[in-house]
Amino acid sequence: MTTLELKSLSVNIGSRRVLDNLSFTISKGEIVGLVGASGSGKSMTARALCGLLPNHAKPSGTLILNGETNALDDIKAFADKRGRDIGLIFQDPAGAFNPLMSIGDHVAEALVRRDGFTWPHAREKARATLDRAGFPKSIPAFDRYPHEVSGGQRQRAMIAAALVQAPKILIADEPTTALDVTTENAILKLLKQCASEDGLGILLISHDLPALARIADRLLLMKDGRLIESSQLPLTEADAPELARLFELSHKAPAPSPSHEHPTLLQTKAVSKRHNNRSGFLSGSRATIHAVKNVSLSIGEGEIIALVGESGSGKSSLARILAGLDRASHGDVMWASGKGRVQMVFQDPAGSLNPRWTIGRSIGEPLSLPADHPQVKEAARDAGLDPALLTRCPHQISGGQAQRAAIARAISARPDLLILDEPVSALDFEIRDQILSLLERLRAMHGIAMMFITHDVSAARRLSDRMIVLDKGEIVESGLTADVFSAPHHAVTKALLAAASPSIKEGRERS
Amino acid sequence: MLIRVLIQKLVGLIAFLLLASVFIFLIVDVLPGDPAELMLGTDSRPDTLQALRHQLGLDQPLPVQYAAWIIGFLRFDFGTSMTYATPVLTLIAERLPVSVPLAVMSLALTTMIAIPLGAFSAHQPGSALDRMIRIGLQLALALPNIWLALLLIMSFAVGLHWLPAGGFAGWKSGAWPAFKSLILPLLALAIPQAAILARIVRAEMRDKAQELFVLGARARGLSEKDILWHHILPNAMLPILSIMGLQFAFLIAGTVIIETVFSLPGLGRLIFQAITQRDLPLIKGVAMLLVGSVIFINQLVDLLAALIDPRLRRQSGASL
Repeated sequence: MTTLELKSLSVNIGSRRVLDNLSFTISKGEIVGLVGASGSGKSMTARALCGLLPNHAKPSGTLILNGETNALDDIKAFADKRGRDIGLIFQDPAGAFNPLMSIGDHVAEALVRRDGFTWPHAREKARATLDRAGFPKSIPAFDRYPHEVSGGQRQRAMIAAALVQAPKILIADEPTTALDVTTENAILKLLKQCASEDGLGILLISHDLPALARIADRLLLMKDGRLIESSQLPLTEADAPELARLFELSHKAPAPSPSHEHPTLLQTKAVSKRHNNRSGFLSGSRATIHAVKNVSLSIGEGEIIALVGESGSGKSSLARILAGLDRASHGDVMWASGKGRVQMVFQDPAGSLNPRWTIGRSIGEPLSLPADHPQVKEAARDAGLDPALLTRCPHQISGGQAQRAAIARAISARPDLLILDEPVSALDFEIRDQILSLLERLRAMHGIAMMFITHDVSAARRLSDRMIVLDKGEIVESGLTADVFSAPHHAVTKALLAAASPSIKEGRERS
Repeated sequence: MLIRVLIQKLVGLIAFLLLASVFIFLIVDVLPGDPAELMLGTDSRPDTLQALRHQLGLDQPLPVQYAAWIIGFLRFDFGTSMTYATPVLTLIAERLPVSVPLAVMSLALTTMIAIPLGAFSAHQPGSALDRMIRIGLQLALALPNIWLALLLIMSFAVGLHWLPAGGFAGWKSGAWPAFKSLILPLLALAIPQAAILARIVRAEMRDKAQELFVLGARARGLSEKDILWHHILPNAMLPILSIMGLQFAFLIAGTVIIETVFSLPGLGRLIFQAITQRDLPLIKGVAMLLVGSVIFINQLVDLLAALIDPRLRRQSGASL
């Protein structure tokens, strides 16, 4: 039974056509996955379906919802459908909540303001919906504010806020991108449950093709504002050649491990980091948190080490200590040569570049070189960045280009160790592939050792020689990447691997 | 939680006041040389100077002078004015019925003008209304309050004869005549401040309207009105409040000018006279009171912010 039928949706911004003649259907209980590179129009499609396009965007086409036909350019008519017939959840559940309002009231609010519920009645219903969405019963939702719960719990609450008005269609725009793998799986499972048990039709937008392939019934591929492929799952090469190719990209075989032994570059001995949670001079109670506990590891010259673990496992704290940005409470960091040069690359490349500086100036900064210095251009070329972009500012280049610029800046200082903190998790899969290839090439060219921090184990597998698994600040497993993948020991490692290896992928690799 | 924040603010208030008292004491009594000579002039006779020094307690060591001053404060003894030969506290008490209503009402008027103007302006950026409001604000910002005061007197007092040009009728003559003499001073004080605040309100509301949680609220189907009142405005209030706290200090400074222009018998004019006549006990007393009121308002602003924002509430609650 078709719940939603979209007929020739087009959107113009000025004279530019950003969405071109999109048509698809979503049936009752069906999960339709929508993939595409960033800028292909996925989010614009989601916004158009909810009547939430930016003011200057002009939509056309029709939307048949529960048998009722609506013209898509009639924004006013949508105000009533929004939330009630079509729910929307999106990435960054932290930003999606009003920081001054309790989690529970976000769920209850629409009932009070739209349907005339009293607050106690609305809260009762909201609590039931939160339970349905798997929000922990032990958390008093009406006394907890967005900053006081975890990202996964916020995403569950956002789903509850969408479900509370009992919509027929849920549009989920990158709902798990900001979450770690374990939480991502739990959220995807919940969405699957909503579809199969409540008959909710879901349009699931993601750049994580493997995750989509695990739960969707059908996949749509967008490119440059058009729908170019549509295929039932499992994928077949004949039906959807482009989707099949992208799927390959996301699971490229691991790089062959170099056979030679790496001389030691850096060693840590029983490094620990304690945070005393204490603020204000009148503070009485203090809580001690062990971000890093007793970590001993070594990094060889030219070696790539993957540091994996769930969010909050202490990966970034350890990285900050290695980079000298933070001091260990206990233990030592020792360089074989006495001292070493470290550079870092962060997850959000645009955020780590000064918005007012040109790219060239940012790259030249660590060495105090002018923006047009030949060495700056060379670093840009090494990072696969067109030197013509050096005169632009961060907002004028794409996310992938910004990450290349951040990498160029890091390598221009000729570091002994490059620490990469989730360098590809904000990028879509095609760009992700390019950046991973770039890192492989840089190691081959300059022999830079890298510590690659990620929760994306398939990226870790592709790039790293050795893998270290961190849980609650401690190393729970370490070994050659291939060994860890073939025979994981610790439960956390198993969970991380299981979360990231869909059955389809296994089938594909065997064939 | 809130009680703890309250206690914390109170402790902060006392600590700030002590610090301020040290500064006021040092600046007034120590820095500009011999206060007795300043008061009497350089050609005064040594024995007269010595007598005055003794009378002021200046022949005592500094810490003793400071302690005596502070202990006096605690016993509500602010000393005696040199020029009026009246207890400082009595002089201040006489001025409060003018200054307190003036400060409170101008702060209220500033808010009442600024928030609606800023909100209307932010509602549809670039619209005719927005442009008109912004031009108006720019004009009001450019006016020095002394010139605005003269302009108001020219039009409403001299021209139209609606309101008195200056002086204060006193509350004993009835609430309306007294209030009437405060209207023009209030406007002169509030308009430039409101123009600043309205621009902040506009910027903050536009900024908050871009936040993702506004999109989230729209996706849940809330009306634009609900979103404005329940999501955008409360979030915009936090920075607005802290600006208001800062503005209070400028308002106090403004009263010195405005009370002089309108010849109102308030604290601003009192401290102005005290300074010109080098009446040290009076300067110290009034300065402490003004500093205290600015600190108090800023602590009050912090408290209000904690009432609005759970992040501040929990944070300060946990730190005690």
